[in-house]
Amino acid sequence: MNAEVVLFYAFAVLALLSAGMVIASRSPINSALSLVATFFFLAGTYVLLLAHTIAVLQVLVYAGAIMVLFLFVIMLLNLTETEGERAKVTFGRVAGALAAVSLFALLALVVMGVKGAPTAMATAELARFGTLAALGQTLYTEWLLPFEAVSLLLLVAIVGAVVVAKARI
Amino acid sequence: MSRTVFILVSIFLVIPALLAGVMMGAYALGGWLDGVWFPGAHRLTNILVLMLVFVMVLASLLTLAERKWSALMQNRIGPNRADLFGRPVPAGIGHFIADALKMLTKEDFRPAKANTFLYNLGPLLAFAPVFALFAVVPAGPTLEVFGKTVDMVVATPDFGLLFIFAIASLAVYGTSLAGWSSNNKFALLGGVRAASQMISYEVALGLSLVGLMMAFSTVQLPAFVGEALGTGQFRYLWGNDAAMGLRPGFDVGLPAWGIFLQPVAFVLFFAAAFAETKRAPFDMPEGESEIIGYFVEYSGMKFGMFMLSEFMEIVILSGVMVVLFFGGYHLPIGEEWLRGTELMRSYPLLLGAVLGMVFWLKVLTLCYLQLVVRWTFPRFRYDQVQKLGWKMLLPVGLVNVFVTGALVLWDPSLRLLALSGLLVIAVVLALTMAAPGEAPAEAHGEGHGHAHGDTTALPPSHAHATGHAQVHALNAHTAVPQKLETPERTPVAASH
Amino acid sequence: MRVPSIPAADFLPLVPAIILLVGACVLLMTEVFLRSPSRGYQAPLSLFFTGLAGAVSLSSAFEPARPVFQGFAAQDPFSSAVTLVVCVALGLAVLTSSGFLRSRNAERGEFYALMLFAASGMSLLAMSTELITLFINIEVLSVGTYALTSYLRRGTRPAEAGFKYFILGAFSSAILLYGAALLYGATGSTKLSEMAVVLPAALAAQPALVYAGALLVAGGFAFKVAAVPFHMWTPDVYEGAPTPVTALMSAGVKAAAFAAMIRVFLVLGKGMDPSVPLALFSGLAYLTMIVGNLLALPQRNVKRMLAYSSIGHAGYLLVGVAALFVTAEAPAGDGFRFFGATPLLAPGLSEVAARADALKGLLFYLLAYTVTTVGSFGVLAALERSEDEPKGTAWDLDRFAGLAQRRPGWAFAMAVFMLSLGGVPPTVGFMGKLLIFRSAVDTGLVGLAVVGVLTSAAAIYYYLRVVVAMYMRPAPEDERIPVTLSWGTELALALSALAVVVLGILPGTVTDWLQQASTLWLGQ
Repeated sequence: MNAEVVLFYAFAVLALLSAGMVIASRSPINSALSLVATFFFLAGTYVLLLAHTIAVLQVLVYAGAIMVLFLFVIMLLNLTETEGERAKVTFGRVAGALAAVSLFALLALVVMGVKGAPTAMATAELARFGTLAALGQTLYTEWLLPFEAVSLLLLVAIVGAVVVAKARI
Repeated sequence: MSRTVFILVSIFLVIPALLAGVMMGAYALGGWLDGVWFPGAHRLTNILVLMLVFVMVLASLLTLAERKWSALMQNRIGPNRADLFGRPVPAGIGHFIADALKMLTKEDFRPAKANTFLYNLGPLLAFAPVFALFAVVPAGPTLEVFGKTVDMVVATPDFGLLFIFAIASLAVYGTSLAGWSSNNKFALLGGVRAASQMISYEVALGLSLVGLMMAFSTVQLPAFVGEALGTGQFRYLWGNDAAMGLRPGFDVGLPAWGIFLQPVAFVLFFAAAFAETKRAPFDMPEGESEIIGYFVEYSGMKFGMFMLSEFMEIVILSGVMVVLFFGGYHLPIGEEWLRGTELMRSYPLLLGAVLGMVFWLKVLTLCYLQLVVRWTFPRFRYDQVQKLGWKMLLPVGLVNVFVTGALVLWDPSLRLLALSGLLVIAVVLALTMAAPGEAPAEAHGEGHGHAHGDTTALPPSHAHATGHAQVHALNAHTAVPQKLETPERTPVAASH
Repeated sequence: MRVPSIPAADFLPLVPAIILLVGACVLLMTEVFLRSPSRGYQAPLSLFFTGLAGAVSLSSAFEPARPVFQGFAAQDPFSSAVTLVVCVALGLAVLTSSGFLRSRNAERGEFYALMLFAASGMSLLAMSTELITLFINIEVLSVGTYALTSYLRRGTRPAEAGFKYFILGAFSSAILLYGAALLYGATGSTKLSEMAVVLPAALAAQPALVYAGALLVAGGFAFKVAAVPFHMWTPDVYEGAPTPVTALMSAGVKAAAFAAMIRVFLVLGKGMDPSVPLALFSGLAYLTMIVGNLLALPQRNVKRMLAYSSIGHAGYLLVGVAALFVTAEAPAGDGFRFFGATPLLAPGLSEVAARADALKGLLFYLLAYTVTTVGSFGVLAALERSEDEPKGTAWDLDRFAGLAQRRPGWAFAMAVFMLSLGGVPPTVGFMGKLLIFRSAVDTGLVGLAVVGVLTSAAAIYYYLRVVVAMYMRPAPEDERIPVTLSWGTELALALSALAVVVLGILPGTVTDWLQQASTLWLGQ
């Protein structure tokens, strides 16, 4: 049991706990903050997987920008703890819950059956793996088409957001 | 008279000597620890020296410097009453200790119905990210000390600048949560303003540096500075260095500093980063004349942490700007000669002390610049802040990226880029100098109650800001209030 | 370091999508720079770009298939055909929207721009051969249609529709992505060409992972094509969206999603027991045909009826998809069986020929459904009055009463569309169903064909109800002739009615062409 394993379990357990808090917490602001914590622990896991760039982008984009907007909205709308009436037990809800649980169980079974096969990597390859340079090189050459498609997606999303957000037509 | 002599002596002798001494000590400590513990242990002493000693002490002293400078600007004397053991202390240094004592001993007040956990978390979240920021900034060269390789930086992650962006973007949690959890409408307003302002300017902040990253083909801060001769900013664009085939006694030339290559980026970055520090003229979240700000309910050391983090941001912003635009710890000219001298070769510690001193002197100069800006410009209205960020800094940043990319692609030796940069600087200077007399009339708009009745206190950059797009951005601070102020609007008074 | 060079020729297949993209940007810019209040030029401008993109895709339709961008996309007759169908749908939808939007004083460049953006996403989706590219392009077309759905926000319906579509669409995308991740975990690649090579080994090593991944991917696609049991969003979204947008959604999105699904599963099906995709798609087809048509029966709201009918048509298309997976010989070993003995191809029929037949049927059906459904939504768009929308009666069957006396041309067109949707000869809908069911029978999927014919017969009831209302019921007293007369709507109705009839009587040229394209694509 080396340090990496200990760290991995620490990050994993904390990520799961804070993800649970996102759902369980009654106050929206606590939910949002738990989500931020989840992103941090996920970033920690990424670091252990040698995906440094993804880790820092996770913090930069999700924790630093997107969740701030979440908080911003929660603060502006002044959402407080939702009282809400107790959810009624209906057939649809029970069936949905059963379906969700069985899907989860199925996926858990599938994923647990995966046999680990660590790829042997040369030291030089390992040193480059997950670095910003390696990522950039891959994105701009091999993955050019998806990269450009993402830029199209962002453009469409911006235009769409403006259309939806502006005054009624 | 004695006062002037004291100031001059302290500026030109005491401060450099102090900086050099501490840096020499830092190198020596690092080399010693590497020897007795394990190689790389000097990073621990770097944390101690750079982040705790330099950044914290400078930030604390800046609280005093700000008060002194504002007094100077407003023709006052400023704080001079705090005596130490009954004896007057020069330059109001005593206030620095008195302020600290006051912060630490004041009652820690908590408003009723505040969310206790988040209320306590706020100052921590505002302070911690800022504190961590300096970790990637190199403050001195890598040297052989006592047979060990010692560098003057805490961490050198592969993603360098992205670390700064990522961590800096987290500081907004502190301010927003402080504003929200205080259970106070004004604090909430401040928190919301802080969140929107910081989100808006993060975009321009990141975009402004893309050109620089392309020019130097890196994102790591030590690589921007350049360790070896001929890398990063440690080389001449035009000069009589070894690369030119000349071997002079003393090398002179135009160093490849970021400011010469990317003057537009410098202005964009400075403006955006200034907005991120939430200081005037971008002090919407604080707004001390209207809403007092997100920390209105905080007292004692919790308030102190907010204040201190603001001043630490000044130091760190200066450090980052020095590394990116002003050659880091390198001398503008003659460093090659200096490194070659017998004295420096036999005593590397001395070289570390000199170059470290150079770095911190540059940082101090930029800190001073930020104080000047803070006490010179009237503040923006909220919509002007947003417009400046989205409609001026962002498009200019985009144009800068494209132009820089084309120029770097065309001429990888960066000389073309430098030429364009110098051209921009020349145009800006020419426009600034061209009509010095017209500025006051123009700037003294109807709705503009800036505190300095004497308009000559305004810097010359208040002159025409039309024509050249880049010039426009350069003067963005000053141009915007004039352009956007609508006459029918109720004038918003500046805060000071 | 591996730095692949990308030849300029790799960009050629993208030209139709790029044209649509440029058109969208031009339309956005007109909104910025041309401040004139009349925006009549926007629809012709969009039409121009659409026509150009369609012409380019038609011109490259018979080029042999080749991978581009190192296997991230492919240029082949299949993608050209789908792009062409998308362009047809887009062109008709644009024509319909010009009058629709002008009567509501809502004509804006961004509406057409979003339509063109979504269409370029569809075109790119049809040629994606890599799971991440595919996912991104699905998102491009989805995000475009999410925004279009709530473009007109009068009353609560559009907002509800947009939100529902967005949430469920995001959910289905997540499912698709999760499945893709599992497939990547099993095969170590996201490119379909590489997956096809690795898949047999991966199936042997980790069958559960592959099957779970395939199942989730199928679920994600089923959401997009509105197959039962993932159809819940369809009626509400179709009803709430502006009618021209509904037309584009029902035709274009469906065509592109089917194309991507076929591409992915033709590869996934190679390694696995063929009875699995067969059972999967047969099951979906049975459910979708029966449930979609049954739910359409009681609808008095014509727009909702068309939405359910669109679900039913997805079922018929799924029959064609299922026919793609019938093999010539029984799979070795005792694999996973759903329906007893796996149907086999009739002896003497080659696998490639059978698949080309099924594919031809599918493509023809997509084209037929496109012209018919966009036309019928066009009539609906011309008839609806915006003041009825809050009351929810804008699309009531009564609005069609006596239409034959008031506007005989529209009534005739609508009757043609209804007959075509119902599959009555001599319309294009009949030819489409004929081709699909024939290939189902050829491949031994007799059950599916029988259910398909039965549900089609039931469907004629609710389609004919519209015709009956138009021709045999008197117009209500207070009914006034809608003012939304525009050349665009008239042209769209005329063109689609013409296409429905002409393709129904003389389908030969198009079917030959599609046959050629399918054989060319599958034959290698």
